[in-house]
Parts: sequence; structure tokens; C-alpha cells
Amino acid sequence: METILKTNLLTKQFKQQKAVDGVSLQIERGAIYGLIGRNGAGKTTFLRMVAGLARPTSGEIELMGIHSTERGISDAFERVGCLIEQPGVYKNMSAFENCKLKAICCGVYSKEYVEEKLALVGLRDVGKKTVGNFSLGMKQRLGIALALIGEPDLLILDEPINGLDPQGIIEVRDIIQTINRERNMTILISSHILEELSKIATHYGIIHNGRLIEQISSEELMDKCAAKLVIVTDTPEKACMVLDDFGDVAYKVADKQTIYLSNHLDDAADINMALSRAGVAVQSIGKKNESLEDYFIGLIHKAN
Amino acid sequence: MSNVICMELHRMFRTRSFYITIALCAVSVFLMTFMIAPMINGSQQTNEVGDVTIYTTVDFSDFLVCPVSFCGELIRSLCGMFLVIFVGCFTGVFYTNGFCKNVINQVKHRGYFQVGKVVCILIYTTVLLAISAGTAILFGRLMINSFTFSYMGEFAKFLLGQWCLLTVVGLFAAFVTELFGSKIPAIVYILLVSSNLMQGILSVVDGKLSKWLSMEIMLEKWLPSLYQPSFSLDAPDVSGNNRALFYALVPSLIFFILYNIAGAALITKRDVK
Repeated sequence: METILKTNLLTKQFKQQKAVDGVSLQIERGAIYGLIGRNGAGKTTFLRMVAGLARPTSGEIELMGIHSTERGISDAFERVGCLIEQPGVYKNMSAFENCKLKAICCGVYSKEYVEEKLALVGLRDVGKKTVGNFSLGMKQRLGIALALIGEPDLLILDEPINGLDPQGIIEVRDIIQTINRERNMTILISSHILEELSKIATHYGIIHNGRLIEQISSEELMDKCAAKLVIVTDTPEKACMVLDDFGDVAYKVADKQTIYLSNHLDDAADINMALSRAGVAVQSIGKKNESLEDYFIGLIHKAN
Repeated sequence: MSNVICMELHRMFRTRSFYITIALCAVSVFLMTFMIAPMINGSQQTNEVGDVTIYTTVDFSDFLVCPVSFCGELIRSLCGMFLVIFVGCFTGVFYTNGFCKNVINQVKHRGYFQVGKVVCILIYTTVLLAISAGTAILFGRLMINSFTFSYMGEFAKFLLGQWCLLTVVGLFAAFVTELFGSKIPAIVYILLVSSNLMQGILSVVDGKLSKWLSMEIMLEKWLPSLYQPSFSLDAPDVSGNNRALFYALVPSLIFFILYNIAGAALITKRDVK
């Protein structure tokens, strides 16, 4: 799998404060990578560095196989499209005119090309209406259209669903999924709305106080958050032998004392009795069902 | 680079301030011609002081009214002001509305945007001077009886020198706008210069410095007011003296290079907000 973006100890310091502190991550082609963190965690600063809008204080970026110290890094940045914070648009121009300007700059302008991008984001029929009269959702969609001009390989979206109504959120989500699916575009998206991100992201990175505290795939996250029976015992090996004899029990040994069962969730009493009869000392057994928010809050508390 | 220049030119011709500032400059030239023309035509003026009416006749018969003497004065006082207002608006909005985030990394070198700005400023200055000069000549000819088309060569040299200086003014305004992230400092500066308030402010500074440092002899050569850049060329006399043009071209070239280097360095090195 091709690595689109790789950072190594990326740091950005403003006077005494480190906004981003030694972030190292890797994103493969075709992934939708969700960057999660509270307000002020360092998400936007990190995205600005990756998009080439801000210079790192230290650390390295490798974009599409080109290292940030190489001369060709500007070629790599040309293949990045970004929507950072508010969409940057000329309010006295129409959506078409704004897109036309960027298309001219990229050397890809044609009327059909711009209209195709506007159609992709659902702005084909706005006509000559100036952007100053757009709703927030329309501006966000125009920002995405601008980021798509030039056919980037990596699309960076900084909290694209902020301030949108539910309909707007659905529309932006659909756009992101469409471009990922149809064009195999790699997308790096930041948000603090976990529920929305969980519907589209394939990988997650959690940033807290400028540090990346966890990277996890969506399958691993679902696995961790799924309802399970948790058995805590000092002899997990012996417990596993009992579980094997119990029946079709799907279990996983999480650590030296913990076993997770993903089925037989309502058979805690029977399982406990079976373990006791086999001489396995059970410290605790119970059902655990963790929401995404609980999981992330737990991570942040651990990081603190 | 050509793509960036095309983008900036397209943006300039879609910007309202391009047309508004040029139109306002032309209207200002017309109004000043309208006010000055009766005096030059030697009309009788009346002033009422209480119950007494005083009649005066102003005789401008010895004053040669030609493009270089008449239009030059109008242009040099007005064009710089409108140029800076336009450049401040045009340059500033690229950063303040955030459009720069969309395009700044879509080119090999960010310095291309400096080139695009320079081309736009050159074209705007040309159009502004052409329309202002044309308006002054047209209405001067229509309203002033003694207007003649003489010393046109001197007038052309004057326009060339003024064009060079105004281009540098525009680059200075663009640099200041980018440095402060706002068009206000550049506009305030040019308004102070145009209204001669800057000279007054610098004179006050001169006085304070002389008083504090008590080194009047040394300060004669180092007073700030002596080094205020002049952004307009004195309308030359009609004796064919080319020194004014020389004094415009040489500093223009120097400051042209300096502001371009400074502007390119700023756009290249600074984080985009």
C-alpha cells in the first residue's frame, strides 16, 4: 500500500507554547483518516503544516514519497488540496468565478471542468449568486470544490461540518464518501464530532495537547467499543482452556489479566460457575459497552 | 508563473476597486480643472467682505498652459493616492479573505505571486496615468482658453518618470499591506503624504530630536524629514532639462528591486494565516 503522508516528530512552537509536539503518523493511499481532538488540541496547526501553509519548527514531512528537505517538495504540495478553517473565497464573486480563479492558477481551466467540480458538490445551479449571499453550508461546499480543483491526491479538510445543520452534514459526508470511493482520493479530515467521523473514517488519530496519543483503525476501534464480557483473572491461560470447553466462545486475551468475550454476553453467570468449578479465580466478570465518546475521553484522561 | 499572472490579471479586472479608483481619479482631475480654469482664463473675481464688494482681475497671460505644466500638477497630486487605495484593497483581500490558502501551494515558488502583483500594479499604473492625463488634457483644452499642445516631449518624459515613481509607490503599498496584513497603514501613510501632513509630522520629529540630542550640526544631515521618500515628480520646467527624469528613474529602479526582494521574501517565508 502506498504511503501518501508520513510525518516524523513534527513540531510547531509559538514562543513558549508547543502547538504540535512531536507528531508522527502515517496515512496510506485511499484512506479516510480522521484526526480527533478537543478545541485547541493542535489539529489545525498540524493540518496547516501538512498542507504547506505553515513551516514546522522541527520534524519532517514526507509527502507522496518526497521528503520535506528535497527540492521536489513543492511538486508534492501541488498535489494537496485543502480546506483549512473558513473557506477562502471572494465574497463579491460567484462560485463559478472563485473556482475559475483557482483553475486558472492551476492551469486546468475550462468551463466544463469548473462546472463538473461545482456539480460534484451540489453547487451547479447557483448561477451568478455571489458567495457573500451563500449559506454556511454552501460556502463549505464551495471550499471543498476549490480544494478539489487540480485533482489532488491528498485532500485535507479541517472541520468541514462545523456549524452545519443536519442536512448540510449529510451532504458533506456524501461528498467525501463519493470522492473517496470514485477517485480513490486520500482524505485527512479533522473534527471533534466523533459520531460523524465514525461514519466515514477508516483510520483515526487522536491528538491531545499537541501530541498524538493514539492511532487506530476503524475496525480496531469498533472492536474496542463493541459490547463485550470482561473477565479479570490472574490465570488467563487456565480460563481460556475452560472457555474452549464451554462452547463456541469468541474470546481475546487483552492483557495478562483480562479476557474479552464478544459473544455469550448474557451467560456471565454460567461462565463464572464454569470457571469456579475449574479452579480459576475470577476477580471480576461483567458486561462492558463503551461508546466512542467514552473511549476517547478515557484516552484523554489517561494522557493527562 | 504565467498561470499566476493570468489569475491575478483576471482578478484585477473583476475587482470593483480597479474601476472605482480610476473613475474617481478622473472625476477629481475634471473637478480640479473645472475649479482652476476660470482663474487661468483671467476672469474677474468678486469677493464680498461685509457690505463691501471687492473686484479683482487675475492675469495669467504670462503663464504657459500646456500639458506638462497644467496636467503635471494635477496628476502628481492625485494619482499616488488612488493607486495606494487600489493596491491596498487588491493586495489585502487576497490574504484577509483567505483565498491565498487555496492557491499559494499550487505553484512551484510562492514568489510567482509577487510577480503577478508587479504585473498588475504596472498595468494599473499605466491605465491610471493614461486616463488621468487624458482627462486633464481633454478638459484643459475644453475649458482653458490659452491651453496649447506644446512641449509634448517634456510631458512624455514627465509621465514616464511619474510612472516609474508610482509603480514603486504601488509596490511599497503592497509590501506594507502584506507586512501588516491590512490595507490601513498604507492608505493612512499616503493620505498623510498627499495632504502634506507627513511633512508636518516629520518636522515635529525633527524638532524633538534636535532638542533631545542637542547636536544640531550633526543632525542637519540626518533629520528624518530630509529622507522622506518623494512619490511625485516635480513637473519640469519647459527648458528641456532631463535631470528630473534621471532622478525618477534611478531611485525607482533601486526601490523596485528592493521592494520585490522584500515582498518575495515575505510571501515565501511567512506562514499563511
